[in-house]
Amino acid sequence: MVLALDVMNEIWADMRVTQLPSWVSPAPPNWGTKERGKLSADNWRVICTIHLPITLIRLWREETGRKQALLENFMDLVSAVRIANMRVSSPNQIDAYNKLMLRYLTGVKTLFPNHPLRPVHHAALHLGDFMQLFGPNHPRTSMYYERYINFLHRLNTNQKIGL
Amino acid sequence: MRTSARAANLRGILADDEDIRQTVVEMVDTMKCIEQEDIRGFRRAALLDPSTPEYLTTSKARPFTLENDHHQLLRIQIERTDPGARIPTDAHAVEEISSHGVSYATCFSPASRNSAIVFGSPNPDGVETHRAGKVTKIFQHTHRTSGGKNVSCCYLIVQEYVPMVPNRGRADPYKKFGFAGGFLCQKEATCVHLIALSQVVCHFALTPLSLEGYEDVIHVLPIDRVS
Repeated sequence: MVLALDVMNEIWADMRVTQLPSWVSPAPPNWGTKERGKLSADNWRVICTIHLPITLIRLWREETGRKQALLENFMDLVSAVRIANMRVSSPNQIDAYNKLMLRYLTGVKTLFPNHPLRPVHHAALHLGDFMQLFGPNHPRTSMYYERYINFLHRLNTNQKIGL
Repeated sequence: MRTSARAANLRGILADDEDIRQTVVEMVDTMKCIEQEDIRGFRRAALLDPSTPEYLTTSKARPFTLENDHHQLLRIQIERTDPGARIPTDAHAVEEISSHGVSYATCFSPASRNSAIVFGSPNPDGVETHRAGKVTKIFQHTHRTSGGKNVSCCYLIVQEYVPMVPNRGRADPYKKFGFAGGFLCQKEATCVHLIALSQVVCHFALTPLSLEGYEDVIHVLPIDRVS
């Protein structure tokens, strides 16, 4: 097991001392346990792009072999996700995203030969095209529309449609 | 009829009951604050609205006099673009400021989590470098340009976390992974910088680390707001 209890204990310990800006929703302190159960997409994003890099690089910095390969593969994914989430995009960033995502998926096929790629992996390879055609991803994510819904909820209305 | 009757009832309740009147006043103040919030996600609308301020202060401004060394830093900053500017020592300190929906605060304020920032600052060769630091002071300052015009800006005093220098063959293991991995810095913030709000790049996640071979270090992971 890669994220065994000893690794999880280290991750939870680092999470407790990490100071995050107020706009980052902290991940549950006991994520990964049966008691906590499922996590939201935002929880997973915070865990994968913030907490796991901090602890895994610290723990596996001198590892060689499979753990090193797993870490490098995972960091390719983290870098690609962070580029895809940026508020600006440029041809260089799109090239970097495509290169990282392709390298990550090639790595997945090598590291986990018994696990077939999923449709979501295929979709991830098209994200570069979308950035090329329509610009940064953030205005098309569900968060954008949810924010508009929140904005509309806060408008005063007379409860009469069209008036 | 019903509307006017309700309005009359409400006026009566407000006139009679001091407690309710106080509650309503507080509620109206809070609603006004919410209405003026710097909502993120309306960049295009903000661009088209000439009345949109560059930043909003979310705490009360307190007048104070700049210390000599901070005034000297401010003078260097302003005289880069306008050598003949008149730069008074009076300024207004605030604890928290919001720009395009992102809040920055001093490390002494209740919102100290928003004090860890990555900022751009030129090195001695004039090349812009990204540095990590904690905000110790935020202030609004007005100076008179050589053309006689008053210009108001917001400035931040930042103590820099100096990046860890590789020693005894030990390099920073995080740098290998670029921006997604972050980097290590010395735990104590030392070097003082004065920067304009526009020089702030993003926040960072700060983690004190104890690593074998690396003493008194923190990990800096720059993070840009995504939602």
